[in-house]
Amino acid sequence: MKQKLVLKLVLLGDPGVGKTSLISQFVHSRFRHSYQLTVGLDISSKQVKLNDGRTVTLSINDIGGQARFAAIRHMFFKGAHLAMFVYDVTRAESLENIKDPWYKELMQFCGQSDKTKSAIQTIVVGNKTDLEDYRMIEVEEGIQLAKEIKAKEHISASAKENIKVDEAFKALAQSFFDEI
Amino acid sequence: MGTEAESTYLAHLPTYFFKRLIDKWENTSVELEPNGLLSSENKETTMKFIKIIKESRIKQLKKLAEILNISDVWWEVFQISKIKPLSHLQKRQKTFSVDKYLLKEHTKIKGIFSVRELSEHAILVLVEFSSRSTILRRAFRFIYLPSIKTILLEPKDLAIEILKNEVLPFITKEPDKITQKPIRARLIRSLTKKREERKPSFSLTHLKIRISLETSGIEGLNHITIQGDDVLRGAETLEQRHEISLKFMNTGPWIGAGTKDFMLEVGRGLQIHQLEEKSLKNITTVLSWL
Repeated sequence: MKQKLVLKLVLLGDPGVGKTSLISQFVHSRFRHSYQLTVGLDISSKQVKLNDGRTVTLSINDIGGQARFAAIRHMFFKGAHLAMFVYDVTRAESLENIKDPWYKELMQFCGQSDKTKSAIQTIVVGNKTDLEDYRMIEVEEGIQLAKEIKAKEHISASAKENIKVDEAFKALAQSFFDEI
Repeated sequence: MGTEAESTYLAHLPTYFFKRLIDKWENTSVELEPNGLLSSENKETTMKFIKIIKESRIKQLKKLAEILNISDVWWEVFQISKIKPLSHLQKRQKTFSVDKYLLKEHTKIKGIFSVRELSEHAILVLVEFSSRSTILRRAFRFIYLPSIKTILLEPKDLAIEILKNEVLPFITKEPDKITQKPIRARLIRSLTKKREERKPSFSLTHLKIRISLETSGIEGLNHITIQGDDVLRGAETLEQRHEISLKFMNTGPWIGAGTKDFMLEVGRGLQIHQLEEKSLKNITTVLSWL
C-alpha cells in the first residue's frame, strides 16, 4: 500500500492577522466575517497536489497568537516541516513582530545546528490586501523581511477575497520538496 | 492716494488677506499679531486703506469673504498629468454659459470664472453661478497646486463636471486623464513616523486609529481618536512616565492624522482648517507624498 505523506504546517503571526481565515478559506473555501480568537491550537488538514503530480497531506496547525498562549506555543512546533508567517498589511507592527518574536521563537525550537540549512521551510504571507486604502505596509517591505529571515517566498493574499490563498499553501508545500 | 491706486493694491492681495481684513475691521479687539495687518509695521498702511475703502467696497469684500470662507471643507484630491503654463488659466474668459449644467428656465444665471493666487504654492479657482436670486447662486471652489500637479476639489453636485469642462482644459494638456487620489493609510503612516524621521516640522494634533473587528479582533470599538498639541510626543511621554500601555496605538491602522492646519482621513479626504500660506506649504508637502 502506498504510504501517505503528511507534512506538518504551523501558522504564526500576531492576533487578528487572519491565520484562521486563511486556513478556513484554503480548507473549507469559507470566510467568516466575525472574529473568534483561536484558543491554544486548531488542527485541520487538506490534500495538496504538487507541480510534479504527487499529492501530500498538509496537517495545518493554527496556533493562537495571543501572548497568553506563548508559554505553551513551542509544544506545537515539534515536528513541524513548514511554517507560514502571516502579517496584516494594515498594521505596521504585525510585520515587525514576525522577526521578533515569531521567527525568533520558531528558530529556538525548530532551528538546526547546521546554520547553512534551515530545518523548516517558511514563507511570509501579507494578508488583507483587499483593504487597500488601509494598507500601511508596502509589498517591498514584506519581501525585504522575507529575505532577512530566509523565507522561500513572500505572497500578498486576501483570505476574504480568496486571493492567492491556495497559491500560498501550495508554494509552501512545494518548497519542502524543492529543498530535498 | 487715489481710488484707482487703492483698488489696484486690494486687487493684488491674496484672498485670505481680504478675509482677515474684514475680520480685523469688524472686530478691533482681535489681538495684534507680530507681523499681522495691525502690527506696528503694517498698522499705518492698513488703517489708511481701511479708512478710504467706501461702504460699497466693504460690501463687496464681505461678499467675497463669505464666498471664500474655505475653512472646514472636505476636499477630494485629484492628480493631473502634463500641465499647461499658468498663463492659460489666467487668460481664460471671465464668463461662460451655464446652460449645460442647469434647466432652461434658469437662463438668467451667468457663469463667472475667477482665479486668485493664494500663495506661491496654491491658486484658488472660483467658479460661480451668478444670479439675482440668492437661492440660485452657487460657488464651486478648486485649489490648484501646480508644483505637485494636484487639484483639490470641494465635493459638491456638478463639481466634477465644472472641473472637467471649465477648469481642466486650461491647466492640463490631457483633461481626460485625471485620476482621483484617495487618502491612504500609508500616507498617514509616514506622518506618524518618529519626529527625527519625519520631514515636516509640524506636530500632529489628531490621530485616529481604526479598531475594527475585521482588523484587530477587538469588538465594541470602531476607532479611537487622540488629540493634543503634539500627540506623538504626548503618547510617548505618557507611556514612559506613567507606565501606561498604549497598545491601541499600534493595533489598528491609523486612519486619520491632522495638524492645526489640516486633517487627512482615509475614505473621507482632506479637511483644510485654515488657508494661510504656511498651511498651504504644509498641505503641499504632505500631498506630494501621495
